[in-house]
Amino acid sequence: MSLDVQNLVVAYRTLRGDVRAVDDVSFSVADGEIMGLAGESGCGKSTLGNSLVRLDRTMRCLGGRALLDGTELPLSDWDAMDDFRFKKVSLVPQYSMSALNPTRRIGKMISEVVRSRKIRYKDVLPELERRLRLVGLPTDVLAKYPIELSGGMKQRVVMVLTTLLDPSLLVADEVTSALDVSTQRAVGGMLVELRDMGIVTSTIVITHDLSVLVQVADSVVVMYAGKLVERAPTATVVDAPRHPYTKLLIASLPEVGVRYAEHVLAGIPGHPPSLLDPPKGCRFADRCPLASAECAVEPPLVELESGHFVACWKAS
Amino acid sequence: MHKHVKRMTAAVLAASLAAPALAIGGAGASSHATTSFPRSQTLYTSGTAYSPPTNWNPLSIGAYATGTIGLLYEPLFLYDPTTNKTVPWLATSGSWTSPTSFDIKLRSNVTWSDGRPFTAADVAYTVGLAKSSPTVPYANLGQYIADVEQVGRYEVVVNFAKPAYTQWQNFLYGNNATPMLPKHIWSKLPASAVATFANPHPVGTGPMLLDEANAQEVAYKTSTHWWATKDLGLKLEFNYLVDIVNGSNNVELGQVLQGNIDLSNNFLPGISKLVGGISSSYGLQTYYAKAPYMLSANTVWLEPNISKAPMNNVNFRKALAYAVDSKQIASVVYSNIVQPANPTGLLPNLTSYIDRSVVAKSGYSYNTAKAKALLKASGYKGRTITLEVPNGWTDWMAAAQVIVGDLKAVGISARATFPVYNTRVADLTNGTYDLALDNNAGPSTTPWAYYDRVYQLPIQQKQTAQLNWERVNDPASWALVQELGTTPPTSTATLQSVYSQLERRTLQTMPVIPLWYNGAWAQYNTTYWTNWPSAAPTSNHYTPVMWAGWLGQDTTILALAALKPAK
Amino acid sequence: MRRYFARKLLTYFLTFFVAVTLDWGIPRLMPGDPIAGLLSKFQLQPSSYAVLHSSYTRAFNLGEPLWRQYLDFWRALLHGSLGTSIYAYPDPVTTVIRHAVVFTLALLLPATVLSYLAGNKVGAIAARRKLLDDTVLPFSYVLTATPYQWLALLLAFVLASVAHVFPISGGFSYSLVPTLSWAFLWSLLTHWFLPFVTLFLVGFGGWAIGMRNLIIYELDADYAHFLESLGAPRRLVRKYAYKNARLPQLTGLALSLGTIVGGAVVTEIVFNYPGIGWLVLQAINSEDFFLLQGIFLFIIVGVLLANFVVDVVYVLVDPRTRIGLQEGTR
Repeated sequence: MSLDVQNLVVAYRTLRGDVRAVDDVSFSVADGEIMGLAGESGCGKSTLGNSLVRLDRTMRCLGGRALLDGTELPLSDWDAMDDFRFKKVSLVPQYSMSALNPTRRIGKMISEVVRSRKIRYKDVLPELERRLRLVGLPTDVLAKYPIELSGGMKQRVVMVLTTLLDPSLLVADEVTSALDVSTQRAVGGMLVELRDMGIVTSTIVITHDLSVLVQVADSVVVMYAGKLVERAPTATVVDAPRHPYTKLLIASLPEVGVRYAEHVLAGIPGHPPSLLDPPKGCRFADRCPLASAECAVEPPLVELESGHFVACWKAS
Repeated sequence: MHKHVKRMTAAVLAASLAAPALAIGGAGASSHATTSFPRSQTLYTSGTAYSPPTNWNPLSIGAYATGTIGLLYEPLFLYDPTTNKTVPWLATSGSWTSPTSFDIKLRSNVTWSDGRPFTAADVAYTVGLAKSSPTVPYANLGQYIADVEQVGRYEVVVNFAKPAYTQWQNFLYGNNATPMLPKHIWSKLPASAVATFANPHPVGTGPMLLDEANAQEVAYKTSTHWWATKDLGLKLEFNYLVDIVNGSNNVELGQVLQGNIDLSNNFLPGISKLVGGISSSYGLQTYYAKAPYMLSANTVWLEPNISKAPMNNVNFRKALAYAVDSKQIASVVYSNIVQPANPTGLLPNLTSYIDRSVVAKSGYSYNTAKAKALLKASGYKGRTITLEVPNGWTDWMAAAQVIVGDLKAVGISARATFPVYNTRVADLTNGTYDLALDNNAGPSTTPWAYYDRVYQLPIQQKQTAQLNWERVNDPASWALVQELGTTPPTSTATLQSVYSQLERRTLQTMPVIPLWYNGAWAQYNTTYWTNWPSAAPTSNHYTPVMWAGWLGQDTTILALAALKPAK
Repeated sequence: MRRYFARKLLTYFLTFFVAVTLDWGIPRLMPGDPIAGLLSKFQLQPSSYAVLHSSYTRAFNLGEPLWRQYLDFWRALLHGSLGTSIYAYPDPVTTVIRHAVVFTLALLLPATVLSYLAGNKVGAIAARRKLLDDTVLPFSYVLTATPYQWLALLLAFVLASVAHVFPISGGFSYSLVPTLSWAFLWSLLTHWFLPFVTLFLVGFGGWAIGMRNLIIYELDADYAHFLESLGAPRRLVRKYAYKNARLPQLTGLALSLGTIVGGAVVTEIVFNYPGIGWLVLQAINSEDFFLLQGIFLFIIVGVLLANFVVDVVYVLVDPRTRIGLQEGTR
């Protein structure tokens, strides 16, 4: 297995106590697999993805572990994680537009970062230029300041940089959220290509937009309120979801050709629970149309079929 | 930062530190061989200069540097206020040979600092400027002088067209005495420049030469060719005199206490507590060992604006005189470094001119009962009057509060105001004030200047000449003052009679109310130099201030010549 | 870029014109007649008084109508003359200022630059080391809030009056003649030191606090997080944060120049240090408005110039401004 996450718990430290944004989540991503991580805002998907690369100083790993190619990732040890960052695990951040130092030429910044990782810039420069061309950027972009590039160009530069050293795991955090549909498609295509060319071994694509995952992901993991609720190949999640939340999610997507007058879009009434003091049982219970007494006990994640995991009493 | 920016910054910083050394310029005739002043050979003075030394022209009153008159240039006579006698200086004698001729005999071995001899030609030239140059301060003499004769090499006769005894007296003796100028240098100047050019390479007859001047101080070096060494046995024991431009009072006090200044002519409030007694470890001395510590320098008047009610009423003015307790001001505000004034207001050096019987009959003193009675007689309606004192003159500001308190105590509604100095001068000039404190009555050799200041007529709308600010219109008294000008100095009986009349009239009409005498502030540190001026019966009883009008015209130069090294 | 600087220069010239007019006008609002004030300090005969008054008034052009005095001022200014000083008659104002300005520059330049650099460095270190933050920061707050003259008096009292380590007043020793000698340079240095320390300490406090806050902000910026996710060492992240934080500090430097000059004025007065600040007080005391005009003009030009320099430097160090300009001119 390329990535194996076991019972991971990541919490934010707040003045009123720990907020468990990722609560006992387990999944695995195979070599060559692109896994989508979906859910609504605040479900913990970004926290999960980021914690695998850079556990922010306000966050703590309270339990569980993550294994990359059999080696445990020292998530809580900042200095030890440095050995993995950029080389083994890499993150395309949510804020790619502002990820580049505005007062540094891009080439200079890249050379400084690379040198600080004890790699000779001269050695990576040819590959860097090749990859830039691959994503359709002229190589003179290295001589420019970030302010001279458009948002899309910056996005691409960041993607090239983060994958420069061929990481085993790439976490792409909401990379399409700020883009128009055609650019979204281009970026999605880039992610697939990176996997196809063997530059990136496994990818986790974090998004709230299921339609992107349909284009790009091999499998999808759905999170709700810090918990993993369903995990299955993409087609299964879209065509035959088993968890009520997933079903409602899919149902709330607009269909091509359907008009509002004919079919009013239904959402999911209610909000996710506060993670400071989460409910004891199934966290979706108070919004779930199928909820009953047994939902007062938290359902375990059960493998219904090969590769299809659901955490719901009603699913099995 | 880029490396070359860093290097440039460092260079700029280093240069900016060294810049003051390079940019300091200064005047100074003689060699700059002196790079420092050895402490034991230098006399440090302060308390005179409030602006940097840039001018050594003795005719530029108000602008010339400390020491110009006295150390560089010298007058014909000095005046000793402690004995009320004149001291022959560049002249050996001066007398009226006729009502319109004055004969001056000069010393014969005086040389200018460039080696040329001092002769009658120089005196004739200097006096003659009154006629030839309308910009010299004594230009008004020009209309009185007919001509100036040179009788031989060392004698001059001044012939007058009209009698001008007091103006001539003013030219020869006292704080306005004019020093002699070298004809061979000054006659080359255009007449318009004579009174205003800076004279950066002064050539004089005096005991010192200009050595160095910068924004902080002026330094003089003792000359070896001073005539007084041979003629009068006088010798300056110090090689250098450095007069330091004043800073704030606390800095001055600190410098005096530390022994960095030998002679301080600043007004340092509280100095009486540091002189002698338990604090004698500071080594400080003043002229008197006890109150009033200082010699008296000028009279402080309470000046009423006689053109305005209720000050135009003589009983009101007399009430003011009886209401104020000068002794209290002297002790509370000044810690007794000033003394209350004689009712006539004449300074102690003029005591011999005071008619005791007049004072006994018409003089006033602190008496609140009498003040109240006079106030009632004046018909005072209760209008609030203001007493103006320049802002920042802290001692006068405190005194004004005391005076206002005294006035209130007898029923006069008064309050003190503290306008900026120039505003206060403008208010007095324009006659818009009610009451003011004024000390323009400085030392003089006879009472004439005092009464000239009081009774000057005609009264202008703007009294710009700074005389008769109180605007008293007394033609009879003014006539008496003018009579003094036409009475020969030899007619002492007539003169004394006129003085008595003026004293009586002044006490009876009270145009100004003398309160106290401001001191000739002087405190000395005895660490490096001793035998300072004092009232004790030792050799040095001369004036101890370096101020303009005193250093060169009174006996300060004699005081300096009497100083001895402390070790 | 040329249009940008041309527009800036125009703004500066306009400011200069208005400032010069105000500078000329305000001292003349001072009440009273400066010549009368000057002469009243001496007991003169009325005739002497009249003579001196008229000659000084003529020398200073004060008899002319105001509009003519104003035009004459501009004419003289364009010829490089600022008139004659009353305080140091008959020296021209430019001479008086020239002697004083070197002292002030010797004080201001090192104090401003060094306090800026040192404050920035220490503030940056304090941002990442808690122990330093806990000690340096409160101390910096105290320093920056301290009035210049109070600190100056404190230093003067402790180090000069009591301990006799440094002299209490003057630009150089009263017993030395200004020459290019080591003794004199040493004397300049010892007299320079306490005023310099005063300006340095107060400035240091402000810069340290500012930099510390800016660094904390920068360390939490997106690019900093991105670098961390690439495994960049702290050293590199701090280096970028520092370089970016310096830019608002540079703007702050330009804005604070006026305050720094004011601080120099009071500091010089406490130490009797003969710079232009001390000269301002002397000019006020002597009601010498020619000198005052000249000094204020000098300060105005100096601050404008310094602002201009900072503007230029800012364009050089911040690529965003530089590129923004180029795009603007296209």
